[in-house]
Amino acid sequence: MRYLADVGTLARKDLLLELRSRDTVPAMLLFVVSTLVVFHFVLPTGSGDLAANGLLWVAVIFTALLGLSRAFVAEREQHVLDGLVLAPSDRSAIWVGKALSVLAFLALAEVCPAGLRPLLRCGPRRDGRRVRTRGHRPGSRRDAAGRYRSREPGAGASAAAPLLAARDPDCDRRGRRRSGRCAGEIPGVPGPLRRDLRGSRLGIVRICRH
Amino acid sequence: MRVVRLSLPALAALALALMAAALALIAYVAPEDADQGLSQRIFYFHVPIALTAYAFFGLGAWKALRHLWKREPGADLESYVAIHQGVIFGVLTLATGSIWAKISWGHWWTWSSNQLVLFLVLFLFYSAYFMLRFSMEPGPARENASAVYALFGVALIPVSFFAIRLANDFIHPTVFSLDGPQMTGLMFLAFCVSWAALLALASCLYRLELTGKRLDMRLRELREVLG
Repeated sequence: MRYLADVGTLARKDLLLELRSRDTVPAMLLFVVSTLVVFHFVLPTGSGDLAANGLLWVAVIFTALLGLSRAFVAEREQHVLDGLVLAPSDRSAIWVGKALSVLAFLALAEVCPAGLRPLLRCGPRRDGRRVRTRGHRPGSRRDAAGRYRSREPGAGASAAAPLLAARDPDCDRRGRRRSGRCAGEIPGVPGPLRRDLRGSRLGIVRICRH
Repeated sequence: MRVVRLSLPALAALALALMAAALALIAYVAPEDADQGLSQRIFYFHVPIALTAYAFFGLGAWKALRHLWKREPGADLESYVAIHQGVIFGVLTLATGSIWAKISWGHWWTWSSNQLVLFLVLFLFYSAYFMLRFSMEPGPARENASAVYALFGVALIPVSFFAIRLANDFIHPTVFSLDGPQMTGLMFLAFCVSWAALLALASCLYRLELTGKRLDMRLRELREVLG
């Protein structure tokens, strides 16, 4: 049991040092996030989970190497290694204690990207599928109530309906029945005009999700 | 032009007053957005925070230039603290932007949006500044390397800023177009006051951290002299 107590003491020493100086975990965290950002661009769309998980493990290994290479730097600089070796404990306890502390740093550094991994796959994919979004409509003005006003004063939904029909190609192309949410606004409320996706600056774009 | 130098307590009081005014305007005075409703009010925090982050990265690069060109004595530390503030506000930008994205787009993040990714790249670039800085021993070599790195990063700032305008994916809202601010006067007032408040707050934090770091340096010098 003394062995475990020694290991615990040494691991606790490393964790306390890291808590005070905070130099290893931020470096590992930055490395992991940067690597995952790069990997996101490396992976082609539709490459599936296998490639993503494989690259995640590569990131984990290199982060661990980063943490391990910094493990004994403090001891070497402050010449503590001699004192550690002279301590009345089994020398392997030094190794196990260090390994436990680096494992704790690695866990801390990996918790963040593990939590962020669902984010890495969210959002519109680059294969052209779009997401429903509400952007701002440049070139329009708001009235006193802060509501959008369409460009032609007095243009109601009825006047805009043929325009909407012509300028909402997504719903047309996919053959979806035009519902209120996809193709138009609530009738009677002057609503935003559709924008031609090729760049004319008329109105809010509401791209269909599927 | 003489620059008025506010004392730190005065700056803190100003920041407090502006923040209170901004919060009052945002919560009570600014009209509700017709399209996004209540969630649009994150705009009054998100955009000023992002602009403040850009401003402080720019300030860091300016101080780095002063260090390399004019050899100003305190410029390196000021550059470091400015970039530190920029990184802090960058984290806040990403956080507020993600919250707003979740509410208005349904996703916390989208990789196919150039402006989001460019801001993330800018943020990671300046995070790595600290890795660079602390991998070297304090001295002229570290100061020069940090200054050069900060100057390289400043090229990313206009790219990131204009990506929001030039990108064609229509996802990230552009409120300030060539026609001017696309919002009513009260909204613009709330935005401006909020921006001023966040700049004052960031300046206050900058001055505070700078004072603290200068004291640390002085303390270290005294310890070396005495010990």
